[in-house]
Amino acid sequence: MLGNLPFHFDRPGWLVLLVLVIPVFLLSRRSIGGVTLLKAWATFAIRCVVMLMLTIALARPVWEKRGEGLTVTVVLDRSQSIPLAMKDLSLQYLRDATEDRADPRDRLALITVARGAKIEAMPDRYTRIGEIQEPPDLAATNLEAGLNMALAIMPQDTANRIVLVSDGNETEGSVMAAAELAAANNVPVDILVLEYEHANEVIFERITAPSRARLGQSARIKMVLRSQGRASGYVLLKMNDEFLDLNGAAEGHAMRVDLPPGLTVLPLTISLDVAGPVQFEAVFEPLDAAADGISRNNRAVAVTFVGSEGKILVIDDAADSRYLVAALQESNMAVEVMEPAALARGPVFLSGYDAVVLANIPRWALTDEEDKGVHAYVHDLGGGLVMLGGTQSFGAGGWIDSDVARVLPVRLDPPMTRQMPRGALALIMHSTEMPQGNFWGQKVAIAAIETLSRLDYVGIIDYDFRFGGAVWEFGPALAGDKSAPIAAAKKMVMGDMPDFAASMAVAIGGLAPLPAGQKHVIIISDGDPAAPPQKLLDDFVAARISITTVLIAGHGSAADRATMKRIARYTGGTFYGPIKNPKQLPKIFIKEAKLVSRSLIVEGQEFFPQVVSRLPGPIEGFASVPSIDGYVLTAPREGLSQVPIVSPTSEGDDPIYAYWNYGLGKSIAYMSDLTGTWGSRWASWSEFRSFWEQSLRWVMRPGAPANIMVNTSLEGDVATVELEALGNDASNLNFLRMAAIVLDPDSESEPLVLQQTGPGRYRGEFRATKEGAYLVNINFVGGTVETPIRGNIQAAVSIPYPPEFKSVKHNAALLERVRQRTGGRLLSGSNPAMLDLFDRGDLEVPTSPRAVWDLLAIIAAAMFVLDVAARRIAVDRKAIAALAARTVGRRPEVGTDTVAAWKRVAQRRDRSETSVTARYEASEADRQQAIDVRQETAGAPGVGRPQKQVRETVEPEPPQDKGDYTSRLLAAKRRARNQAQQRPDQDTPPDKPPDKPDA
Amino acid sequence: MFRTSHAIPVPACVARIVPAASLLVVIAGCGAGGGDAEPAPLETRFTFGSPGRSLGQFQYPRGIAVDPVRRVLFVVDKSARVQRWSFDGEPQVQWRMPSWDKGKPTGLGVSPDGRVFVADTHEHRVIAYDADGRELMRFGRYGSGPGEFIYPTDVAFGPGGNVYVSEYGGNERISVFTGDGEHLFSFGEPGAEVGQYSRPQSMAFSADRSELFIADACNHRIVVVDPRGNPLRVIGTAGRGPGELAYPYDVCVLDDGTLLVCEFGNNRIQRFSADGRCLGVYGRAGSGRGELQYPWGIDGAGETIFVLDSGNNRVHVIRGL
Repeated sequence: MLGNLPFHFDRPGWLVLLVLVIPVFLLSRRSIGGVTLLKAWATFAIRCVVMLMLTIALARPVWEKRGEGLTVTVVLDRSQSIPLAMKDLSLQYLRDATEDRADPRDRLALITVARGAKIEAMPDRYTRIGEIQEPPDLAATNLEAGLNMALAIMPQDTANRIVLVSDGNETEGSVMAAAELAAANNVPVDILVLEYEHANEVIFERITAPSRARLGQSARIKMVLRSQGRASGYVLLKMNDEFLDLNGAAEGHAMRVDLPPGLTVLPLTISLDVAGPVQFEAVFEPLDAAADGISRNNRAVAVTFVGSEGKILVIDDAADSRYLVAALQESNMAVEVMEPAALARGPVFLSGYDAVVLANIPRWALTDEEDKGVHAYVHDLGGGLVMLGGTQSFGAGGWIDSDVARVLPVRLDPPMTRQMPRGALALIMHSTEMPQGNFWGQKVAIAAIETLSRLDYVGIIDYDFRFGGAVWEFGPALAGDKSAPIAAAKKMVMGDMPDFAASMAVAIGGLAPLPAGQKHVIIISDGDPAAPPQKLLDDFVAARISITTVLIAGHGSAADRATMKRIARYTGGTFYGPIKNPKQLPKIFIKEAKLVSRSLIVEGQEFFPQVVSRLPGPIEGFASVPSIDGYVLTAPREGLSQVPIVSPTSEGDDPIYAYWNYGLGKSIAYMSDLTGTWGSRWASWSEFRSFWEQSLRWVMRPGAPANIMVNTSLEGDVATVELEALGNDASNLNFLRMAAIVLDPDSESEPLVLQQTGPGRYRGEFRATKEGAYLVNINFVGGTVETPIRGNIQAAVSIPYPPEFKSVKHNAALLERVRQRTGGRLLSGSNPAMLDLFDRGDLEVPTSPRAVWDLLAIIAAAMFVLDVAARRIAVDRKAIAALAARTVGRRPEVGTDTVAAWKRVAQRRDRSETSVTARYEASEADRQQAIDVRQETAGAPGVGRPQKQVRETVEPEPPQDKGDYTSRLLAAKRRARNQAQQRPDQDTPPDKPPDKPDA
Repeated sequence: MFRTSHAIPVPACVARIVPAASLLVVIAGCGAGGGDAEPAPLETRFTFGSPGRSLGQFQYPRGIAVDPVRRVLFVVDKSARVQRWSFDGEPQVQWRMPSWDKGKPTGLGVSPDGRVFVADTHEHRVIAYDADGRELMRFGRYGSGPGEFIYPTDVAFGPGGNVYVSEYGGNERISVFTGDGEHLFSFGEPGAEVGQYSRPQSMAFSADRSELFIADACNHRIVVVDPRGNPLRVIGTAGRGPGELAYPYDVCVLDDGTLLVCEFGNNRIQRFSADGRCLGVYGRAGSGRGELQYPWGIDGAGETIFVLDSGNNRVHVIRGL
């Protein structure tokens, strides 16, 4: 019955109490005798309302507020599997379908989705679909994230509908899980399928190669291609970036292939005569490029680790390691020298070497990823690292707080007790015009801060609206442990800087008074702030403060470049830019920040290092070492690091040679160099070769036993690792303890569990979804006390292209399941009649329930007071009239009578009465007189009547109170109390009227 | 010293403001002597706009211009969109600039005949549209020669239908064109002396078009010149007190001849008499009701004033006359 009403009761049973109205009616009839009929009915009505309110309140009424309008949330798939033309078409579909809305209250929201979901427009009636910004990573499809985002932003006060526009090829997440959630919330998901098919697509499914092989072994390679139709083309194969000749005597390297529909396997046998990791890269080049829709899936990659004796990689760009390399080669150790750029090949490349030497390499020669990769190489892959000193190494090379610094056995910050000249650095931040400007601004500021030593000064300046201009967001103050400046950098929200002058004035004001030897400013800007005045530049030169300017690519006018270049050149700094790739920025900031930290280099005299420890280790057996002419200042690290060679000074021992185990690997730090600059006497030292051979052999990763084999395979996005372990006698090695990690293409490591699945066989799985190489490092321990087995082994899994590019056709079936599960509609872009996004259909308009029992209870309480008032208050019309008259400004004519009456009362009171009885009677008479006067004045019902009649109205038992015994009793008690009070006090004025029971 | 919250002194010159000039009801004052009184927020009637990229939403709006005849206003933001709004805050239409890779516009003006001239700052040109966004003409290119721009910032309309374009980035000048975009002359050069400018961010003509008020932003002053560019007087000096300015980004001339100056640096609006006396200080930094964050623009028509609260992605509407 209440189905269409906007309310319902949670506990309707309580409504039975409404029958209590009947007894209330009966009781009211008995108790309201003596009052007027109108008052009686009013009282009864009020009591009924009170009863009604209380009963309804007990029944817990709920008011349902109905929403209005419809919200359509479009989830638009922008992943790379969808052809560009189809992407444009889908946008056009949506523009046309959302341009006109029948109901202006209808709202539209837009979410774009690829690997993640991004809100393009929140639900709004003004939303129109125009140009859109693509979500960050288009190389995957996560429709679940899109639907979940849509459910999260839906308004609760409208009907809701989701429109999923996609090709249905999801590569991450589960859209069906999100569909279940939508169905549970009664939100239909309409689908608009973006249909396409690459009819002649050729996909390079994979290339298989053994995970590990011995040097000189012939390896069996298989290249697997899948073709949708007949296709012809060429296959090229590269081994470590060099083409292999696949066509014999014919010209070129490519092999002509004619592919039938389906799978084609191309086997090949290759002799592996290169040690270390060998990467195979195969590419298919179609004869008709137009027929092959997606080119990115024409590539496959595999990696084979070719075992050898220990190999050492020396990173050197200035021949700082020439003596070392010669000595190691004399010791028959395999050494390769490369420039820092080689580190860009990542941990997979490094894992082919058992030790890496950084010979006076500065931090800014590496990217953040390369820095991270070297750390992972030691910590997770068990490699060895040696860092040699020099003017661009350790703290002087900007390595403080880098990832590599965590590997080293010394702290790169100088000891707190050391007295040394300080540097001062100010960062002027204005990077708002570049994409993610605030993010990169914070990142480069932190990179620069981390480079400083704790004794350097640092400050950050930006434009902050809260303070009306350029301000120090931090400092200038000592960097200390850097937590404070880094925290300030993280909180920084850079404003748009109108001019350079204000920020530069703040900088010079802060830096000039500081007791620092080297003072430097770095300005990062898009270049459009107004140029500083010449005088300010002169002030910087006079204060010997240099300025480096970094122009980020934004507006990039010639005038911008000229302004920033001039600031740098005039003050002795460097100009960089325009920088288009923000990843270059941290290196620049690190390099520039190090200008203030030249003080970490100790040189200018001959130093005599002392061997202070002869514990077993890399320099066991060496009692003394040659003198040196300089070194980089570091501090001993707490923990298990060993510092066997130090340089004694008056302020303590400075480390010269230190080593320790770090993670799965080891590292050695040598703070001096091995060139003629500081280490000329080392190069001519007779023990030089044996010293460094012993050090390198200690730090190198142990090789894997030859009879331990590991294989990897990839199925979908699941990679499988299988290890087969045989003893020297070809028996199975069981119950080995495995500790394995997987290093993903971003150098992030995750543990991998390997379980024994058979005699000598172990197996583990992990998800591989990122494009690039996943590296697996397995440490194993087992055997017996007599014949212990210990070692580690590596393998790799390569993903040449994202799974996104394996799709050759839309997946309408998946989207149809979503539609059926949620009760959505099938939309068609080509048929406008099937593209009415705002069709309400049978959508339910949501209601928002609100309990109102408390409101009813309050009303009932108020009505109860009204009930009492209705019975106890008599309306005095004359009094109201008089009040109204006074309100409008007319004095009532009876005013003079009132004064006269009061005078008469006063005169009577002045008459002396000796008898208490007489006084009482007089008092009583005066009181009655006053009552008469008041009633006359107020126009009470008694006005104009004989005096006697008035007095009758104040008889002890007025007729109105016949039925109210309690009231009469109370009135009698009050009178008695008044009389008792008046007897002892004869002066009490008779100004108080007697209580009127019904007043 | 920069972290000290700037103090707006107690009112003293309020009495000098004619009753009709009680445009902004909450007056923080302009008297000398200063004080530590917290600046009062704007007495905003209502605001419109919210963050976003749809019609009715802003992404850091930086230019505002009112068409008093047709009772609409135009706003351009950092998504390179121009939006037309009614005085009641209803968005009507939007269009996008033809390109925006190098940067977005920072100013615009409406000519007496209703054309919308957008200073396409980082594309070094001016584009004129009709009120519905149809391009009518464009002029200017990168350079320092006659008729060329580095960073044009605003467009104003002088006597004879001439178009005045301010610019910075090295030129720091005002260039004057005919209504058809033909260059007539330029005045101004970089610097802080008389006749020199540092980022002239916007302009406004007096009602009789005999005086041009130039917001000389990085010199923290308003420069008044005649239509030929001859300097007449300077209003304001750098600072945070009443009568002082910090990065004045926009100026608007009211019907009674007084000026409203929008201060990017001080996050406030300041009112001046035509001869440069401070008449009132309004608004304070923040994101709450009546507060401003990086205000870039101000314009008005009659009693209705619009303040572009860029950092908060909204427009304050104030009515007082």
